Amino acid sequence: MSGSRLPRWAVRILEGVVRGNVARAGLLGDLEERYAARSRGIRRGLWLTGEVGGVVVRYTREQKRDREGRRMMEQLTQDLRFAARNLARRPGFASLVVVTLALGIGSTTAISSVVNGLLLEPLPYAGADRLVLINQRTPNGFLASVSLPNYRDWKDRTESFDRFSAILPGSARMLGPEGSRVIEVGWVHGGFFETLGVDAALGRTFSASESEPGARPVVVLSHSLWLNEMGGDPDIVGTSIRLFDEPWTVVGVMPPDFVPYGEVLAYLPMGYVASRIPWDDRGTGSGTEILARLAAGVDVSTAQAELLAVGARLADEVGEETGIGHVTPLRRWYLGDTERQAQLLLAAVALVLLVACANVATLLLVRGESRQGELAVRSALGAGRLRVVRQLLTESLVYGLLAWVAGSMIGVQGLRLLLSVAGDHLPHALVAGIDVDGGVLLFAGLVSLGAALVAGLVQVGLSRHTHLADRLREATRTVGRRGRLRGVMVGAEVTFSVVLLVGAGLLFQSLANLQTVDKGFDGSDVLTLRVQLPGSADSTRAVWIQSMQELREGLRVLPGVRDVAASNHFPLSGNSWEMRYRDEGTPPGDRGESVLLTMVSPEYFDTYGIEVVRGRGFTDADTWDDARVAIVDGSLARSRWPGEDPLGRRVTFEQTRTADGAWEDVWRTVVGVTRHVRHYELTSPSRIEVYTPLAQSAAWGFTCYLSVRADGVDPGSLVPGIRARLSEVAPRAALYRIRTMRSVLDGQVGAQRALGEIFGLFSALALALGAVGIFSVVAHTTAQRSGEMGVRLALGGAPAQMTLLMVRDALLPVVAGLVVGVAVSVAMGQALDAVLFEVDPVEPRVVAAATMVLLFVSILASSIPARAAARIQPTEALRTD
Amino acid sequence: MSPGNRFLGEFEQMVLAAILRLEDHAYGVSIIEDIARHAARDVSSGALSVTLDRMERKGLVRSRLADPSDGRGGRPRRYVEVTSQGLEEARQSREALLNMWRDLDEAYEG
Repeated sequence: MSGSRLPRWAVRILEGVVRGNVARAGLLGDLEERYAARSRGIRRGLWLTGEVGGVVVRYTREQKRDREGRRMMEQLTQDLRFAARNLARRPGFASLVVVTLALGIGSTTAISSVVNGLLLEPLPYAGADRLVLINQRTPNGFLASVSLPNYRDWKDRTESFDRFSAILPGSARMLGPEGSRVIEVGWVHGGFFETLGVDAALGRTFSASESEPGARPVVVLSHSLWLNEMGGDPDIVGTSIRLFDEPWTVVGVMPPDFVPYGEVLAYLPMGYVASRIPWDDRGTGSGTEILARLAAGVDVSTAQAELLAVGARLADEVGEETGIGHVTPLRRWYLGDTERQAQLLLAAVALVLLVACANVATLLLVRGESRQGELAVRSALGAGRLRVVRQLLTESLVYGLLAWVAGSMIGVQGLRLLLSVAGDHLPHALVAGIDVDGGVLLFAGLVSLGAALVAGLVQVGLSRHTHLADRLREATRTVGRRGRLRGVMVGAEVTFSVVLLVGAGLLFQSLANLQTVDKGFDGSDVLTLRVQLPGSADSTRAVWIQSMQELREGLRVLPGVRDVAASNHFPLSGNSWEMRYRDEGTPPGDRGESVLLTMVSPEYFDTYGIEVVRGRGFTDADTWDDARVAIVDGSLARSRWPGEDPLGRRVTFEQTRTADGAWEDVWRTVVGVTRHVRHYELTSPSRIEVYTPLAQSAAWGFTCYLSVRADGVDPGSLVPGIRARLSEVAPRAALYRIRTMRSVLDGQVGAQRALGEIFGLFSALALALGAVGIFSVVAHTTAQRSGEMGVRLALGGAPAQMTLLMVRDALLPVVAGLVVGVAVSVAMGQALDAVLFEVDPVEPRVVAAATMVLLFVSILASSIPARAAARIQPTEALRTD
Repeated sequence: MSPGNRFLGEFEQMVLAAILRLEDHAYGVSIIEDIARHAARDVSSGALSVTLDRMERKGLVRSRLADPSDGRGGRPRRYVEVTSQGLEEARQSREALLNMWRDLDEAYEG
């Protein structure tokens, strides 16, 4: 059947092209069969040619695809193995690169996670961006709590709000299984929970009528109180707990992430205590704050404008200024000063990441240059250009990936550390939202991978025009263009470091100023505690004053105690009583200005080292039956009676009820003048302060603070003794908020200190990285110039001169970086201004110090390799060329 | 990629369908004829052979040589059968296509 068989040429081609026995045999058989089935002629020839051609094309394409896939895999493995070998050969260099990048990634992750949690993480309330807190701006400009009549009128007369509710923070004695303790409570009114849009996790919240006057004693527990004190009892709803020595029915338990207001552990209906709070007194800021929800489509400024208008109308009706509602978005209120600090930290950590990237780029560049010879040899031995490029990039990628892994671990641990150190200074309600931020981790990783890749690409650029002879020759010489690139990198590192150093310097200066500010008192040995005495309906002023005195006397005899004072608040306590002050010179009809009223026992001034600059302090002789007296601070004396004697002046800031029920001013005679005390915050003077003897106070029965001055012992160590003694002299008294003044002061400067420490840490990091960069560049340059050095030394050059020469060259980019850095610092100083205390944001001493530190470190980093290079023997140096 | 979400190409589906229809008699020439008969498509031996090789590598079919015969110049036939994986993927691809065309029948049956 010749003529029906495939021609030999076709068989040969097919056998040559098709691999695999089965496929080849099957295909040949198929074609034989189909060929034989066709009638002879030119058409069969054409058909066969087409079929064979098709086989050739398809099989060649398929095989090429296979080959390429295999080769790519092989090369990738090879590249990775090569990169790993390179890493292992220079473990020091590899760890330097990886650690540098990892530190950058880690710190960025930790800081940005905190900042995102604070600024971006949604609050756990539905439509939280419409929640606002409202305080009251008093007629003389102070921001204060809202009087209850104002609250009710604003609630009734405004339309900007969907919900309008109030919370009055307080404390309650709770009888638990382990005796009685005092807990923070919130008296709420007007749909407090509905405003936040959160329902109880167990049971229910208060009904609308339940918070009005005449309310029953019902309580909604916070999750933590329920869990920690009631053991998470699932049947708690409907049972009762004992507060204020009375049974209160538990109606609900809130969910765990519901911490809207400080550390409130239980919510109670405000109406239950309507008769005991200034329910109808428009002039008294009762401590109440308003939590409201803006209506849909209403923004903060519209709501603010409406409150202004309502305030003006009210003033007309009442016949005097009533104060104006001041609206703050809830998150802003939680954040306070933290927002700016958070942004500063973000800027600082971005600088650290930039320094890290610049440093890695510098290291890889230097390394790349020393490898030019090696790369040239490999090219000459047949490695394609693409291959060399890929190897360099693979290496960079491996560095980047290792750093990413290490950086993530540093980030997670760093966040944990940061929260344990600074958590107390962060807003309570927002800390729950802080967690490692995946997006940030990804971003920092990409940035560092990018930096490694860019450095890799630059190395690739350097390996262009790879002529073996040129490259081998060049490999040992400095080339201007590359030198400049290194210089730019080093300069950039220096610039970023200067900005960080200056920032840290300013913050530390500010911290130092805060710690040495003249606060008008000395609390270093003082322990403060709040004590609540059980009240009873038949108690009298005399009984109350007597028990306060017994308390003080009871504690004073304890060993290690020098003084014990009682007062309604103390400096920086966070509490304050404000009253309206008038004296004989105040025009009739003038309501006077707001002053801080401090009611104290006679020991108060000694306990806090508050200097009485004129007249006398109080004594035990200033009793209720004696003439009413007052002490004023120097700032009042100066403003009211400049150049005159304040002693003997008559002043008033309290009212008392007369026998026929009318209100009457209580006039007092000034018997002493003290120095001004910073009561509200360390950073600014307080409003004017007046003091009255506790025993002569118009108000009585309130919860007092005791301040115990230790005598040569740690004030904290007095606590057990005080507790024991108190259980003897006043067994039913409850102690709480026990703090040393030192910790109170720390709390004041804590945020500033944390900020300064983090900036300090970051600048140290940047400085170290910068030094490493400079060191590696100088070491590399000197190695390159060893031939030149050899010649100079052989010609009689002194080693010291050589060192100087090399250090000078190395310092050029440093100086350029310094100049730019100082300029940037000055330009950015304003950003720090708001968190600085009595420090000029372009404080020349700080800028000079930062510059000197950087210069010193740079000289050190460059002189070590330069000196080593200059000490080389000329013969040795010349041999390396 | 898991077999569950792999979608076979059009030609691969045709080849699988032909093999399934031919049962024990599926080899190069019979497959080409089956596709020509049912899909009116001319298939070259080279295209089929390359595709069978690829499908075998993917585990969709398996092949064996048998019956050296005169009509083929004494060369054997490459018989192919569909593996269980191939069957599963053929089923999924078919369902996907049918789903895509469901409810559109009226418009296209015209």
